[in-house]
Amino acid sequence: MSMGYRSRRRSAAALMFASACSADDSGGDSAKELVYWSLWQEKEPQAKVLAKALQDFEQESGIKVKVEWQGRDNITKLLAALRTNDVPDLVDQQYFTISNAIVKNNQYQDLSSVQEMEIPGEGTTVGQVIPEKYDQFTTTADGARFLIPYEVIGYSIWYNAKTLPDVASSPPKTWQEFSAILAKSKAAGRNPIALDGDIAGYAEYWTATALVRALGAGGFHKLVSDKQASGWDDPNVRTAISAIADLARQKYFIPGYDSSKFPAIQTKWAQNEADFLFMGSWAPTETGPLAAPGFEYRAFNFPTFGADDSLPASVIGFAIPKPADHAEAAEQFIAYFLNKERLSKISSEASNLTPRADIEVPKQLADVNALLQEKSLSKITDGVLGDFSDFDKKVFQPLNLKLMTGKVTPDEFIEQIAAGQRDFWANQR
Amino acid sequence: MSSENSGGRVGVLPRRGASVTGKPRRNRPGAGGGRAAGLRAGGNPLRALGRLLVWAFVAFNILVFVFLILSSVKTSQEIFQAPWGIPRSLHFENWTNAWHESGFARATLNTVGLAVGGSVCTLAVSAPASYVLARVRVVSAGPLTVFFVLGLGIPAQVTVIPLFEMMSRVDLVNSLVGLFILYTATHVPFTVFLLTGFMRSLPTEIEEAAAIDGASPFRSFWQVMLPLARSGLVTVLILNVISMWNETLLGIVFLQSVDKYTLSLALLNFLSSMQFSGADYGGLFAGVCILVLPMLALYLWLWRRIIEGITLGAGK
Amino acid sequence: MALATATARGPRRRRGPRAGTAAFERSRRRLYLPFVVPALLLHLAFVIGPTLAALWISFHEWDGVSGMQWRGLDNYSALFDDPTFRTALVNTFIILVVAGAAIFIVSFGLTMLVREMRGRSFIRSVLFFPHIVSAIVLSIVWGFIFQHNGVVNTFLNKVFGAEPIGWLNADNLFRMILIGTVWISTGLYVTIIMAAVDRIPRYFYEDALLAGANSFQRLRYVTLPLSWDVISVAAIFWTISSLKIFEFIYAFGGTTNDLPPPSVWNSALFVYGESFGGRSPSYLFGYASASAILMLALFTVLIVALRRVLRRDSIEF
Repeated sequence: MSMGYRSRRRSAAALMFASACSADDSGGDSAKELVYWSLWQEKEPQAKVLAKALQDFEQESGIKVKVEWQGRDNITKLLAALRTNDVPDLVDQQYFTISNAIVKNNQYQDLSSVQEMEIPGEGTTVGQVIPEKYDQFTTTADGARFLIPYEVIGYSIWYNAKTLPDVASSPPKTWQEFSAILAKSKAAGRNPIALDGDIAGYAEYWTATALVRALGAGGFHKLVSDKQASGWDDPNVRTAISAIADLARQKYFIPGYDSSKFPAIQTKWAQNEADFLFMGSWAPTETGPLAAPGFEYRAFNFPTFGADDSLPASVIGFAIPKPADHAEAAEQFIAYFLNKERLSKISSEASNLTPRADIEVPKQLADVNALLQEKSLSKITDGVLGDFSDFDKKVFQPLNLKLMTGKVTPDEFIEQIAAGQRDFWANQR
Repeated sequence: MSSENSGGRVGVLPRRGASVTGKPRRNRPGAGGGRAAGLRAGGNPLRALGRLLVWAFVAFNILVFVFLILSSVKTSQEIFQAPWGIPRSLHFENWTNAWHESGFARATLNTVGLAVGGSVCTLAVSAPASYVLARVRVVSAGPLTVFFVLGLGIPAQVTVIPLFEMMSRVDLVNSLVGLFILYTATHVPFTVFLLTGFMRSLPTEIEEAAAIDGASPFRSFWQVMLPLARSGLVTVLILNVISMWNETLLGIVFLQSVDKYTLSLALLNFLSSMQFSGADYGGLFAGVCILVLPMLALYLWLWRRIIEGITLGAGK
Repeated sequence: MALATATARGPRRRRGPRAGTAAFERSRRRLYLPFVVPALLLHLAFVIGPTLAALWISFHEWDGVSGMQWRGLDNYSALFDDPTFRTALVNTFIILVVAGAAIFIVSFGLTMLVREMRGRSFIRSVLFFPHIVSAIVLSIVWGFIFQHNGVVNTFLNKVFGAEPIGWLNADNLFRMILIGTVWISTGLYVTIIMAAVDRIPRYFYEDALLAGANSFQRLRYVTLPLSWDVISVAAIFWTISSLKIFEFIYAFGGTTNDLPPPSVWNSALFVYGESFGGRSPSYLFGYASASAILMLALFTVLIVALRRVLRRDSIEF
């Protein structure tokens, strides 16, 4: 990989206009400044928590902080910036977005040293407060660490305990139990499942997790990485696919799930027009403002097919681009932010989960947190969304939508996905 | 029977055998009606239906617009529950939120600067070029004009990646100045196309008179030609302002800092923030109105000019 | 966008310079270079140059950060094997032909109707309005009113008692995009065609009427031929514009960073989708550039062919 593009050459024949973007690229004093491009937008609660922490950090350390509340495509912008002299020192995102953008092309800094850093105000190091179970999200295949997590997302099936007290008292564990509940709900004239079908990823959660349940963690990932697509013949696969197809066949999905615009269906769910929503742990905060009064957020783990009962999860964390000028300052801030006091605001003010087990979780996330502590973790969509994004976008997601809208039968799905997968891999080089 | 126009394939009506004595033939009832959009028949009912459809179309456009404005002062729930109802109270906080908290104020400033400034610059560069291409008898004028017009056919998606690479080498990515340059340059083909056509149509006598009076070519351009071409210049200026005001693809690719966003980007940003801070359609439509209303005002004020510009000149 | 066509209207230019203006002509020629060069430079640097660069990139594999790797024509052959690209290609042509036909038919029909109606100016302005509004806005609005619990379904329910229609489901989405495109563009083409038709002197129609032509025949034998020039330029303009359609489809991706489903992609979205777009961008710059160049080449051929097909002897009147 050539780093020639980072040369500081300015074209003399260039325009006589001053370059407006003039981050001082002397690259010198690495302790005095910190540029942070956040995935949060300024109005979001996490942004407010981070802003306060950054303010305090600036005061205490004397390092000047410059933050851009970029929003979700901060990493795309980072990639743009990698071509210029204006690289931020600190970014944050979901692990797979970071991995996709800067791990594959080796543009990340190894943060193993951060693991050893002491957290200001405590006697412990970063590595000591972040449980090992998150390593699968934060390390590369070679064991280098590209991410330090500060928010954890667990994906579970949400419901309103107020309208479904029976479920609350004994939540389903197996797919059979779950189907029974769905059937009951349908028979009672309710809409069992809410799904914003226009978000292909959300639809994918269902099928991918079913496959993980049937094949074990890593099974779906292995399935799609096979260039011969031979794994699709596995009868366990068929079980999972049929189960999902059945949801559509039985019309468990709320009408309009295939023709609405997000967040219409999610909003309906929050207003009790549907029973169950399979979503990340941001669900309560996202739907809260529009929820029916007295909505009691409870959740249970995606039901099992066999042995696997892992909790699909993801993490959001900090990463440092390799060409960053002030990597040290960034590392300092990471350790600073993981302090229990500061990090706990992610839980208390932003109502999300954190990787530290010693931080109290918001009430509505109690169920998910219990799962987080008890169960093993698997990557949401088994990591396929991140590692094979092109395949996902072009082959799996469209076909999955057809499956979940009853346009193809399980057998047709299996046939077509296998063929599509073979073609896809054949065309990759 | 008028048999106009040599050299043209004007459809001369087929003789039906009967001699034409000036007496109008009876129209075959209903003949030819129902074709195409079903609007051809001389029969009244079809025409009436057509008129109805036209008014329906007009009503639709107006309703959409009214809906936008109405929704911008409602809460999200009100929008869904009573889409056409008058809100109980006018939620102007949608507007203030969009303006202050969602960056639309800054974005408006950026967009105005880019659109107006960019259009003026494009004009400043293209008007002289169009003038000489249209008027000066040089061999290269024709091919050069075509060369400029070629640019019209090149969509932004072709050039965006190399442009990005190029701009990043001179640190003009994530820069309003950089985007300004891009907007100016990418509107040159269209402006040259329009203006050469327009200038070719202007009378030469006045310039020749000025020449005889001893005016230098530059003076002739500046003091004779430009005023003559004023209406064309203004029209193309307006059209460019509108185009730059609404431009999105280059903005998405080239602007990374939120405080540099144009209105389109601020709107998209708002849209994506709705995912995590809840569906705020009232605020969204307030943002939409901020984006649309200035263009609407421009349109209402200058629509005659805009439409004239579209129909500038005549077919050859 | 405007459509100024080079004109023959206006006073005829003298064939040669008059006495006394020869010097003027000569010194005006000296203005040529300085006047043209700035625009030319911008044009070369920011339009033509990057196009050539895109051509160069299309022969490589490149993610924007690492070095470029030569692939020769492999990107192009891969495109043909890529079902997503084939879909995008087909969609682009469907937009060109189907939406284009619809636009022209509707515009023509509207023109013929509106010409005779009262308030024609007002009508024309209102029809034109979507054209000056950002396509992003129009897309948001369009998606909003046609979503499952949107205004249209609510209306149909209240007035006709109809069940909600899945306007935006996977099967219908592209059709809605087509209709939306027609909605947006109609105003512009009505304006253009109306201007062209307005120029046709009345006496042609009167003569035709006298000869016993009905409406349809008047259209076919008077209106069409005499406005043909403008219509053919408009057709070419539409062809160019249809290739550029991006924002309207893009914003159907909705409130998240997701793109709309690949089944509705046109070629512009394909370029974006394979480079910068979506939650997990692919960064396949070489591949994306190849698709862009390919489409440009296809459309260039198409436009040349179209101009040939549409060419008629010019009619002076």
